[in-house]
Amino acid sequence: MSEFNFDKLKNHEIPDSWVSGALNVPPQTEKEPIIYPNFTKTLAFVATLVVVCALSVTLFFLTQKGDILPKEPTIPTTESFETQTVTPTYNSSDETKKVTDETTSTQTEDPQDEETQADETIKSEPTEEKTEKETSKPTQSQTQKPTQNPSSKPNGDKTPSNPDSNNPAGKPNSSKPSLNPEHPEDAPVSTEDIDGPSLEPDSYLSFSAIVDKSKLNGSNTVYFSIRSNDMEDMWTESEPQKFPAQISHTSGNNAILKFYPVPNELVPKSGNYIYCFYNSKGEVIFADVKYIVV
Amino acid sequence: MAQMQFFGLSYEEVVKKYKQTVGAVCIMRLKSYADAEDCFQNTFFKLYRNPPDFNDEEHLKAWLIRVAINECNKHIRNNKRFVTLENDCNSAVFFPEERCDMSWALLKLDDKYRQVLYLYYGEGYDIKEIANLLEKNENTVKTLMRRGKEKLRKIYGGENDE
Repeated sequence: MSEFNFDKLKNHEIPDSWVSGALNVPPQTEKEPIIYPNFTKTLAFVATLVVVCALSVTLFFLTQKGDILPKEPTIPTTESFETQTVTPTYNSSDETKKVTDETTSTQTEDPQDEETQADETIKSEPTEEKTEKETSKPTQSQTQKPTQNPSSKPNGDKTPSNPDSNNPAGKPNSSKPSLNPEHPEDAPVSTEDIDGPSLEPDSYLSFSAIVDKSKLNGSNTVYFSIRSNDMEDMWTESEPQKFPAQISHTSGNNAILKFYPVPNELVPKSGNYIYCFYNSKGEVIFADVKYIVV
Repeated sequence: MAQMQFFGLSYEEVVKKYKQTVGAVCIMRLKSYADAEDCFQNTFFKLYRNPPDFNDEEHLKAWLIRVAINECNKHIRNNKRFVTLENDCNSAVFFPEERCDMSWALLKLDDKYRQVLYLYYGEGYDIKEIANLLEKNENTVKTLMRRGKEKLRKIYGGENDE
C-alpha cells in the first residue's frame, strides 16, 4: 500500500478563510460562572428541612394533646385543702363560748360559712403539728362539713374516763316557746338519725341540737354516743359509749342542747359520727342536730 | 497574539505550519468542508486560549491532532441528530478517483478505519503514537489498521474487477 500516497489530501488547499478565521480569535466573553448546586449541600438542606417540618408537626400534635407542655401549677382550692390532714388548735373555753353564742343566734346551717371557717382554720394551722397532737389534741383528716354518712354503721367501744369532768355545769334556760316538735316521742331513731352528722374534723368539738324536752325526763343531761366507721366489729355491742351534754336553754317544748367537747383521750377519729342521743334513763331520743360548731 | 511563542513560532506561524495537518484530520473525520472549518478554527482557538506546556514541537503537533479529533467527535456528537444536506452536495469532500491517491478510497471507509489509516500513512505515526493520540489500545489500533487495509483492498479490487 506504500505505493499509494496521500498527496491529494495532504496537499489539499486549505482555504485562506479557514486560516484567517483561526487567526482572528474572537475575544473570549466572560461567562458568568454557572454555580451548580452542590448536591451534598442540597441534600443536607432538604434533610434538615424535612426534619424540622416533622418536628414541628409532631410538636404541634403533642401540644394539642397536652402531653408535652408542662402543666400549670394547680392553685390549691378549698377542695384540695379539705383533703389535707390538718390538726386544729383547740381551746375548750373558746369553743364553749362559741357554742353558746351560736346556739342562741344561729339555727340554720350555712355550709359556706363552715367552709370558710374551715379554710381559715386550715390556713392558720401548720400541718406539722399533726403528729404531735394526735395524742393530746383532736386530729382531723377530712372536711368539717356536717354531712351524714349513710354507709357508716354505729359502733362504739370507747370507755369513758370521766365524762363528768368535761361536762361543765350548765343550767337550762327556759325562754319563750317557739319551736314545735315534729317527731314522735321515743320513736326508734331512724338510720339517718342514728348515724347523725359525721364528726368531721373541726366539727366534733361541740355542737348543738334540739330535742323534745318531754323526752328528757326532767333531767338536764342528755347523752350522746359516737360511733366510728372503722370499728364495725364493735357494731353489735349493746352499750355504746355515751357522753353527757347539758341543756343550754329551752324553747317551748324543745331544749337546746349544748354539747361539750369530748375528752381528749376519747376524741373520735376521722369518720366518727354521732350515733344516737339518750336521756338520763338511757332511752334513745331524737335530736335534731342543727349545726356543729368548731 | 504576537507575544505567544511556541518553540520560536508565533501563533500565526503555528497556524500556517499545521493548517494542512489539522485540516486534513478534520476533513477525514467529518467529510464536510463546512464542519471541518469549524473544528479547524476551534482547534487553534484552544491553542491560543489555553496553551498547555508543550515539551517539544512534536508534542505540539500531536496535541493539535488530538484536539482536532476531539473537536470533530464533539461536532459529530452534537449534530448526530441532524442529517445535513451538505453530505450530498457540493460542500461534501470529494476527491477524484486517482489510483495513486488513497484519499478518495479512505473516504469510502468507516471513520474508525479512515482515521487510523490516515494517521499511519498520511502523518507517519506509528502504532503506539496513534494509540496515544486516539487514546486506544495498541492492539485495537492494529486491528483497525488490519481491517482497514482489507477494506481498501476490496475497494481497489472491486474497482479493478470492474
